Amino acid sequence: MSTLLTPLCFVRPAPMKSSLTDPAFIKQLDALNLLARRVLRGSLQADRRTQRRGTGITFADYAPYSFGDDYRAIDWKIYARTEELLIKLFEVEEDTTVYILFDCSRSMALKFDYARKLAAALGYIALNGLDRVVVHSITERLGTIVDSARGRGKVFPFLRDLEAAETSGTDSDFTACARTFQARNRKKGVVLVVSDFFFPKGFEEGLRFLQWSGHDVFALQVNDPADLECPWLGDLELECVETSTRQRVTITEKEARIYREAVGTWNEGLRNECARRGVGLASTTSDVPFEVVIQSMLRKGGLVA
Amino acid sequence: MSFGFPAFFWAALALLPLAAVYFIKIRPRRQPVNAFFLWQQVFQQKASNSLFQRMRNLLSLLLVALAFLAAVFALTKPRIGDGKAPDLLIVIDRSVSMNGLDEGKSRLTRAKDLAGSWITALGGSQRAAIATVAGKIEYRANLTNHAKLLRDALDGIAASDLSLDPHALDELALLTTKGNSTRILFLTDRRSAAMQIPAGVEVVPLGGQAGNAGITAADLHWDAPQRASLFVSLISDFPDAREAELELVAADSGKLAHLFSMQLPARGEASESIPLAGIEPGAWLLRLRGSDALASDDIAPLGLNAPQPIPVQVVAKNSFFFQQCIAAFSRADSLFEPMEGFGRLSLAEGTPPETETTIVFAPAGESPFWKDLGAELLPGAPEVVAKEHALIARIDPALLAFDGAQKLTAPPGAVVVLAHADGTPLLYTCSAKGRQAVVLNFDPSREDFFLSPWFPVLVHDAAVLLTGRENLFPSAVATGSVVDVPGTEALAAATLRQKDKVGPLPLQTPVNIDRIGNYGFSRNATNWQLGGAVLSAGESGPATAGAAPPEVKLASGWPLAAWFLLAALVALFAEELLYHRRKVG
Repeated sequence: MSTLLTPLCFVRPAPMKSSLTDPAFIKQLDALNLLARRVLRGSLQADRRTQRRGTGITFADYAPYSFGDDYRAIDWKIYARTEELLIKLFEVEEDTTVYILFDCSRSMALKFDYARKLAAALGYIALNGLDRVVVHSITERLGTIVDSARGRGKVFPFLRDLEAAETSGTDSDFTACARTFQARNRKKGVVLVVSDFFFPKGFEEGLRFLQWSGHDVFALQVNDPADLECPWLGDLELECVETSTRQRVTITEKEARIYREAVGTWNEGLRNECARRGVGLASTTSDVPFEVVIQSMLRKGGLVA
Repeated sequence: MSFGFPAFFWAALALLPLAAVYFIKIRPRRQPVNAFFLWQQVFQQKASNSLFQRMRNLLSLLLVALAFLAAVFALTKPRIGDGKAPDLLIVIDRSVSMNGLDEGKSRLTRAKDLAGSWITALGGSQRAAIATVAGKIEYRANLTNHAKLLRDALDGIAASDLSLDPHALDELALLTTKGNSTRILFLTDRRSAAMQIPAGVEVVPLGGQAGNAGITAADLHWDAPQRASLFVSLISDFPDAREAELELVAADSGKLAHLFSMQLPARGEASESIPLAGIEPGAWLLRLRGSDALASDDIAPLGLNAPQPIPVQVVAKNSFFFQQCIAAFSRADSLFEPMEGFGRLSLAEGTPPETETTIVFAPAGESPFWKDLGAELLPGAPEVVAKEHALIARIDPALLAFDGAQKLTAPPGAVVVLAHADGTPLLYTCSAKGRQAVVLNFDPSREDFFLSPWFPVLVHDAAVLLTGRENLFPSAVATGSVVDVPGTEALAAATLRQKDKVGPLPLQTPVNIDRIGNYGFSRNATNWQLGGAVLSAGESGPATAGAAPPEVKLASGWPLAAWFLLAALVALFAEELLYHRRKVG
């Protein structure tokens, strides 16, 4: 009979939503921004380095001359020594657009506030670096949270818009969102995907689409500790937080172990896919302070993989 | 199958809410998960178990329903058979033969075990009563369905030293009349004197075929001073003839006085009288050596009492005949001991002396035993006032002339045995001032009464009446007997010796001899020894002959309700295991 008295639905309450415009939080963002300035040593333009080669002033590499290349880029001194036509490559130096693809599916509910702080910090640093910031939401379709913002003056609108974002959707589809994104945003930039990457239809296609468009893609995986473990045993009615699909199951230690293995395999797949595609990946759980995560990312050399 | 309380079947309707509660109970907790598709992968691998998963809930409900239905069945008190549940009266024979051992277990223990299993089978839906019988029926537990009361009554039953009274069950005939549904079960080893079992009483025989030999009669008495005789009778139900060895030992010291053997025929009896020389008065034990089914009848305590004459003085003008009479009885059975001085009994003529008891002839002078002494009456045949009085048990009053009788009045409370035609008492007993007397209102010197045989007879009978020596004190009696201790004084001590233990008995007489042992009694001037023994051919001999009683059919062991309850518990336990697994994985 004790069962009758126990709640039939065990939902861990979502953390209290914290304000992104709170002075204390802004102070934290400022500290991170200073750190970013020191690490990146940038100015108005080209605050961040890129893999793309272009017409900047910073020598990047040599490449064999091919038909159609600019004659002016041929290094004649090399030709004189080796009789090979090589052209100099320079890093592109431009104001970069930082696209933040922010997962607003319901599976993010428990770590949404945490992920929002991460996105806010990254966006804050970009805006202070005079980069253009666009924030899209990922659900079953691509949405827009911050249309386009540039400059320090857009910091607070950016934070307010991000703060207003809510989880929604019933069947998040990263692939569809990525396809929509690459169709809408032709201008190449840095794409930050902030998500738990628990996309039932997979993440491989989405990453492929993003990279195919020529963006520098960086994945920031945010997990709730409960997602990685299975703290419940016994008869349960599992309910998908997105689709509300239910399934009655009996979870024993064996099933819990299989689940942990499945989660491990899933995350390992993400790591492998990112490594294969040269996509930067940072994984964290919501119990790690967000500023620690940002500092770690910056110290690793910015957002470049 | 029938049911004691079929109304409890309505309780089965509670299955509906029970099922509802069950489904609420087993409803699993809802757990929102983020990576639901991963869980689907996990359980796709375990699809082979899905049938069991589905069946498990059904099985669990089935177990709960089974447990509930079994409990309902238990409440209805199911019973195999036609459902008639008459009250039971279980009568257990606790006579001495129930102490007999068969294969190491006493018959009484077997009877109690069997009765206990019946009580268990009653299951609280049928009433029963417990009674025991030996000398008479004793009810240990009245009709009740309270099993513990019945068991307590059973536990309190111990075998007695008494023989089974053949008429002890007669009163049960009242319970077996038509219209009375009480079923009477008599658990007995069928070793008793031939008894008529009332119709309707079902006999449940107990005990095996273990052989037994026992003492059925024993007596130790004086033949002459320093010489006694031991009479012993034995019975055997052994299938072969054998030699029985007996010993006579002193009860207090265990000193062996005599050892002898007797030939016992197969399933027969033997008796023998053995002279014993140099034997001392006291408490003795006659033992039958060897082992057999019943040990209680292998021993016969005996008493050999020393002669204890009554001190008598004669107070008469012509004392010759009185003294001759006393001397004769003194020689014959040591009844009297002549004394010159103060005796307990005085044999007087005329005015009696102040002795404790007096036999006085020809009253004369002043005495508390009469008054208004007057003129002499005409002789004539007396009228018998108290028929069958001990004083005239052995004489014919018509032959007595009562010559010399005088007119007198007996004191209040006197028992007049013979009276003159005018109502004057001629022979009476009375007491006054703590003294007792037998008054013979005639002159014995006339008509040669001294020479008639009635003179010593009257003196003897009056003496034993006044001194309480009417009955000969036996050497041994069967348990269940009642004996009077000779004498008229109050008992000063009464003891019972059983083996080495000596315990006191109530100071009252007559005495119920209900235990095997050596009894000792003391009055002021006399000591008496007596043995209490089984001395019953029925108890010691073979079981009652005749056709074996029909087999009694009665449920025993745990009732069906208990088994249903056990099944309910097992089902609940199994369901709890499943439930536990559901809750903790």
